[in-house]
Amino acid sequence: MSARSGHLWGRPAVQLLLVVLLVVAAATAATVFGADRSAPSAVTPQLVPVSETTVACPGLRSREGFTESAVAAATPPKVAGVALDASGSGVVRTLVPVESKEETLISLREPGDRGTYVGRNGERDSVTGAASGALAPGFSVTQTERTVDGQGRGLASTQCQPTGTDFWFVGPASGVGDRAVLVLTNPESATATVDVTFHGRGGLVDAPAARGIQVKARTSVDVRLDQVAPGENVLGVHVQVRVGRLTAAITETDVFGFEPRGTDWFPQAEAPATDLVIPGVPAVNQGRDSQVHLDIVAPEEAAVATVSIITPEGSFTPQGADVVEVPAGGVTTVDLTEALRGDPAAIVISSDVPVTAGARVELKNPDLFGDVLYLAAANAIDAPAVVPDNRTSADLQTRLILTAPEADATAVVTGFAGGKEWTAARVDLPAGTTQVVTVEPPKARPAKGGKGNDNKVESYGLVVTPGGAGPLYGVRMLDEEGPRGPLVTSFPLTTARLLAQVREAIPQIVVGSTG
Amino acid sequence: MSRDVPLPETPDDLGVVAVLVAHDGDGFLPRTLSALAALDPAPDAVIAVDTGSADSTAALLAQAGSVNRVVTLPADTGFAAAVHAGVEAAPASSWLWILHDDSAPEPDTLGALLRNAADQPSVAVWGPKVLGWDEPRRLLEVGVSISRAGRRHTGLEPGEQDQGQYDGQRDALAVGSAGLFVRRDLWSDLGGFDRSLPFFREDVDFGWRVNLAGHRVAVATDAVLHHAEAMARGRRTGVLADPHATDRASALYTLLANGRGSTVLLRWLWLLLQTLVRALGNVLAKAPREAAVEMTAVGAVLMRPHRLRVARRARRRWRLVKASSLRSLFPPPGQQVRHSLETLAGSLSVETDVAPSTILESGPTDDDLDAFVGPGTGRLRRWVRRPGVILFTGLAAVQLIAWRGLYRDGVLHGGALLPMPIGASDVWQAYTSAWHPVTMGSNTMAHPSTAVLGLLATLLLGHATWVVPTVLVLGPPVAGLLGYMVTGSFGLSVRLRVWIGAAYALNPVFLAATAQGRWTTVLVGVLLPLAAVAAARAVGLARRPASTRAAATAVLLIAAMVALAPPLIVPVGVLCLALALWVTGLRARLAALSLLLGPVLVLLPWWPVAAADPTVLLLEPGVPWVGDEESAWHAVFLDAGGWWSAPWWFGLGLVVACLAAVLRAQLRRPVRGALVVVGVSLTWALVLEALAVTPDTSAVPVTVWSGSVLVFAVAASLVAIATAVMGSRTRLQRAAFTWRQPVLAVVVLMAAVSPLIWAVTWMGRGATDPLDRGVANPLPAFVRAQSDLPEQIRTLVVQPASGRLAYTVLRSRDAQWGDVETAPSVDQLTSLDRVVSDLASGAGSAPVDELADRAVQYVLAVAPVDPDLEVALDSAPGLLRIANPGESSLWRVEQPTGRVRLLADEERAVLSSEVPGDPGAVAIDVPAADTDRLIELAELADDGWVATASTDTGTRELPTSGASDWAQRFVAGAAPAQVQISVDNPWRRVLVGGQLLIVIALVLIALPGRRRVDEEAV
Repeated sequence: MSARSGHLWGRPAVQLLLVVLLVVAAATAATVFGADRSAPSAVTPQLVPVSETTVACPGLRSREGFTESAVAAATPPKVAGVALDASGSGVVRTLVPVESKEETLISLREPGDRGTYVGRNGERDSVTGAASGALAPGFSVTQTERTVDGQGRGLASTQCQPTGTDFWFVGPASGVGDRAVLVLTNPESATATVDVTFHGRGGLVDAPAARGIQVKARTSVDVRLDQVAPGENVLGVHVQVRVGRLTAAITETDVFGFEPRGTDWFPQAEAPATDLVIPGVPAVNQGRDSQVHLDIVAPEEAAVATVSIITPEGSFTPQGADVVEVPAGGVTTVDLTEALRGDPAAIVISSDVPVTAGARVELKNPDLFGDVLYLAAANAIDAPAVVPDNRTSADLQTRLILTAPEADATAVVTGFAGGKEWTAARVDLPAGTTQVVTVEPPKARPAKGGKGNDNKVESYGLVVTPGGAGPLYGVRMLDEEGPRGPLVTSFPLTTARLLAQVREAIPQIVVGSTG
Repeated sequence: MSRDVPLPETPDDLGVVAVLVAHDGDGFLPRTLSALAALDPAPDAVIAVDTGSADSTAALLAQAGSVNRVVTLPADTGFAAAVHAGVEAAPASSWLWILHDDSAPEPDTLGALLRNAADQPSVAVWGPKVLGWDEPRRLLEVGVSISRAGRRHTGLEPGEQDQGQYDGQRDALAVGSAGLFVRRDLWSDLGGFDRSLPFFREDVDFGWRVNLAGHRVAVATDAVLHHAEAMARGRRTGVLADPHATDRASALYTLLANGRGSTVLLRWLWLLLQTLVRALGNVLAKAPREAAVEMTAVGAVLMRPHRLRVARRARRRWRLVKASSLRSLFPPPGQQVRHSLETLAGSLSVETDVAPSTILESGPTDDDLDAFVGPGTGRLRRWVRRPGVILFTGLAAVQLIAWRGLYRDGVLHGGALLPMPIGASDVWQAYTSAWHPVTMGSNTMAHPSTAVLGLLATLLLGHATWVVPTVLVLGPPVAGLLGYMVTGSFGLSVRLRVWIGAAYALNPVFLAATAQGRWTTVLVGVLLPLAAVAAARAVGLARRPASTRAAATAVLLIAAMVALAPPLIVPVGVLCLALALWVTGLRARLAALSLLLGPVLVLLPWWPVAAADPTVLLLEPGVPWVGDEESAWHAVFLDAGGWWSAPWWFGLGLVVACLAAVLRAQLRRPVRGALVVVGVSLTWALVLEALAVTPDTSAVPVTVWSGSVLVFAVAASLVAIATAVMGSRTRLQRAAFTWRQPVLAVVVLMAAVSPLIWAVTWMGRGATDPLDRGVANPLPAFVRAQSDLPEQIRTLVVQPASGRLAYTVLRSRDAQWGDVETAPSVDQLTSLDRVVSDLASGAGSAPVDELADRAVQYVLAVAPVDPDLEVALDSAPGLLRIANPGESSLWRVEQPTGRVRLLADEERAVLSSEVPGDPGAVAIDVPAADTDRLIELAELADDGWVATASTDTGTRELPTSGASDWAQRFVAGAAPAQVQISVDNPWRRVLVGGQLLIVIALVLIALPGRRRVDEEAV
């Protein structure tokens, strides 16, 4: 070891130690004092009230018989608890071709306003609703038709929807006595092209006439299902918009011989998924001659599904419903009448492959006429839902059927009308239960607000605000125990477009392809 | 060969007359004269011709007893004229024997010639075997010929020794004039040497004429003459300004005067072209004077066809034989190519000072050199067993296995790599262009690495897409081979050098760089060994004096490295300054400084960019990595991070061994030097890793890639370790056994097996991910096709990313390499940011008009499509969903739009513009109108935009309008006009031109010079 020099610093070992210390110090300094090296943290998008809301409805349809109809619009007084301090407008108009003169049905003036237009007999124009500024968040439009007599007897309602490109409906029929009509409404300024696919009991239904349906700008087209896909007693209907955007709705009027069986609009079913919830099966009183049928569509592959029922007491799987086989591309119907007798409920479906589903409820007193009610797999309400009161008569009772399938949930139901707000109900739903809330209308007071609001029914709006740990599902139901039999209709509660995410846009050369 | 030419009757033997031509030959004459005196048999008469010698030649001739008569001529007399004068002064004879003052026959030479002449009367011209003057066994001539290019062809290897291999009588096209032995009657018939050839080639011309006249020319190899070739070798000064040029001119004259008549025009053209090429070669070889002289001398022949016509007419009289029958006397055509190649190989091996061959020859084992210069066919087996060859083959095999996932069609992309432009011309256009068609357009100067890419693409026959696969596949093996070669002079064992090569080629930084598509880093690694050697030569570290040529080479290589990886400027700068302080001698210090200043100068056009946004100095070109990054200390273990990098402990063996090398730093200077390089580069790498950089073109901070800096550390640590290990073994064996031996054994073992682990991991993992080959384009084909139409529409591409919305605007092509660096700055796009944000929010008030203003006709949401985004775009009025290409979603802006629009009040008319090659230029027809209009160009406003309107009344420049907050607008009048819009940046043109000049100058300095030394004298 001749390399050893007398001086301490000259010793190789000491030098090595110094170098190691230097390296460690430099690396530590760079690590400790260096900039944060984690990926840019996810930015929470800013939430702003939406500034424009546009919806479209198939429009009032007179049934065979005498029809009272109404279009109702409402916009909530507050967004996320804050009253918006801005101007805006909310207008419901008839949808007419560009050259024609459109008619304003309802005009809202301020947040918290609501309005009703009472339709005339024979009216059939589609309607559009457009709100901007402070009235845009939660702007909601619904329509109701109440036919008390004739072959078209029944109560029907639907909620206006923003335009889209993909719709599912489960449950319409095209057999004898099933008068189902698909209404395609195009409020946009360009022609839309639509393909409609039908799934019947035996699989895909050949329906060449339903391909490439052209819907001109600002018009609507009626497609009678018994003409394009006749002879099916239950159908899954898939509406795909190839070019453009529109809204779709299906209404069906059932007759048996000359006896009216009821009428209603089908709500949109959720796109196929492996777990579905159909809320809103009403309490079917004992002794009535009522039926509940569940239809499951497996659009791609054959499915094996399990059906369970959530009642106020809890959930259970009815006998024979634990294994439901659905052929590929086909529809299978499960009769749940026995299982559901007596209780309001929601139906939960879990499947091995994506399916979608709907339910048909027929209410009938043994000696009187009955009415139908259509339900569909729905989305959870994860933000307030807004429903304008669209009763056409004070006899109609407004109910909410709410279900918390997974975990405890709460719902606060707030009513608003004429600048006033009140809490209509507070509901606590334990996990796996369903409850029915009956909403009492405000006491009649001098009418104020919406144009066309000239009847004796006090109109108001409802806001259903979900809370709690689990998802909340629900429908708004209207029913009436008429002298000639029950009348009933419902549509699912959907999350209102109150707030929109405004994300920071950043220019970046590589988007999507690499990295 | 049938010769039916009637030979003159054998004359009465009138004997031999020797004609000795002398000029300033006192250096050679004494030997020549004594040789003449010693001749047996001797010529009957010796006539000496002195062409005005200024030295003692005249006196020597006068004193010589063997010389019968001296003819004195003026100094400007040519050789041919001198011979003629001598012959005229000579008495009658049967034979003429022509000698130079520097040609000494052996005593028996004349006897041998006469014997042969007697044996074969059909031969009219004889020549001796010509050997060297100072080297009596060196063969100079056994007959001469001329190649098609005019080269004097002897059929001998340079420096070939006479071992009797050519002995025996040989027919030839001609024999040299020194010792030319000719029948006098034939000489008179043919007119002797052509007086138009004052010096050189008169002998070839004469021989050719003799052959064409149907006589034979032969060499009598038993007759021997020693010749100094003083004139041709430039030993005789003062006679000719440039003997080489005169020789060229004479050669061309000979070829054109004697060549076949039918091809003379073609040959003339060919020789002209050849002369131009040779002149260019001379310019490149830094011999402009030679080039000029050759051009003038040769031009004198080629540009005077009249002289040639006279010469050809004179020759026609004697021509009796078809030219084609002489073919066997000329060298075969392939001979020329072979000769050129051999000369080239020779020049590289002997002359070159810096270029790759220096590395080849710098090692102590010369077999490496042989391996790459002219391997003989018989050496193949030995060649493939060379360590360098085995190393390269092994590394290439590893690469080919690792590359297995990428042997398919498609575009190479992924990680930092964007698809390359198609051709070299595209790259050069991007480099010189004043406007880049990236998103909303930008005037940023292209990254300097674009120029390197362009050079490589040009070398690869114009295929820019070949560059990256070539660099990524072959780069590491070549780097390894170079690592093996440059360490040849370090006194390391072959085994250690192979280890260096393997470890360098497989180092974790290269692996990460390859997987991430960072070809710039790999290329830096390839250039580094060359640059290091050149730099060492430049400052005189390589046991040779400092070399300017090496400095120029080093400057070019370092500039290329810094262009590829700008962060290298810091370690290069620090090391150059340290070198400047450390070396001795002013010249070496200046050279060291030039290694820093030179590259700075070469990168001239880029400095304005760096001044505007200094962060570009910290970033390598390519897509920046914005994801999670490991802690900074990983850099110490050569883990540079990014999309993929080898785990940090991969570098452990190397780092520990490098620390162990510190123990030996005192003993070995190279270890210390290498450790300094390691320290500087590691420190800078740590600094880089600790920085968060937000370049102007990025909205979010990006992570710095320190890979190229770490390559410096890797290379230096390999050298340090290998140098430290050298001799340690014996030292440790001799020392007493303590803890040191086992510990060091473990350390050495760890370092030794590291390359093996790296290779196995690399082969197992493969080069893919994120590097990929396939379709990289998000643009659907029909949208791309529509983008090429005259409207020049664009597509907005959006994708949500961690709560933000990343977007880009694509024109007729997808993003490609170079776009990241030339993108407009984020600040210039804030208005577009807002438009995209509002559009995607779904809150309503979708600003679709603003998209149309920017020529955006399509909106593409890239898969996986965010449902909120889809809903928002679906509900945007004015946007129409049209198709779902793949998993993506596409919308069309309903109103028509285009790059150039005419704005008049409410009207917005889209104008069709020509789609020229230049991304900036636009040509449109503006129709007539009642009012003034605005022409809006959907490009970011820039001072460089110029619009020129041509109307019936003339041409004028349109004023710009400042009404838009981002777009370039011009005010067009009401009259119809043809408007040309273009963008120009004169300042950039000056800078790029200056850069080109600097690079050319450096290349000229770096090129090996022309050989000026006498071969025989060496």
